[in-house]
Amino acid sequence: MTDEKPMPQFRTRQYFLELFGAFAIYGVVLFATIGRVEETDPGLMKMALALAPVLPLILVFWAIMRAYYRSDEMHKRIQREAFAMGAIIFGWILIFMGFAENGGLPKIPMIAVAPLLLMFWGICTPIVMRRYT
Amino acid sequence: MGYLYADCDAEVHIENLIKTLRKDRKWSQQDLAEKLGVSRQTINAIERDRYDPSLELAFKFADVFGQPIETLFTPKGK
Repeated sequence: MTDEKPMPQFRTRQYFLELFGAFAIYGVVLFATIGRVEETDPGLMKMALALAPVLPLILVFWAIMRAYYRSDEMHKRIQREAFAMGAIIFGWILIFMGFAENGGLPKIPMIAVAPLLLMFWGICTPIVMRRYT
Repeated sequence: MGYLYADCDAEVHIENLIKTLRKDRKWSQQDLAEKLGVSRQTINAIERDRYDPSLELAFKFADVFGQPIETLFTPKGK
């Protein structure tokens, strides 16, 4: 066996620190900008303030991807299957809601799509994990 | 959950001697997991035939146990 650098390992505490740290920054930016967006005249500044919370969300997705790449092969496989399952279920729900709008149900706001997709991914993870554990 | 994975019946199922060899060396699943750089759950899943390792990981098993891969992993029924 060649001398290899050890693979970085998934550590729950590190993951939650990175994830919640990113969410904390997101929360601070959100609260700092949300009121000021309403007060600002339409233009570049208003758009910049409105989009400011998007930047710390990059840290959230970065934390999730780092955790994925630190996982071992079995856990990566579980996450891939869970994401696929969650995306298919959520896609069906979106189609259902799309048709239901014609019947009077409210639209799902665009801003809710990513969190809901992540939520379904999270729900499907223990379901997929039962196959392996 | 079996109905979700019906097509997996077409896969080749692999038997392994991991648990036997690990116990011979008096290693815990955590010990073996640390030697291989994987989680204890992965070792548990492999020993219970719930998960078949990749070729890369199979070679690491062979290296850790000092046995050829063919000794450690065989298709079921052979």
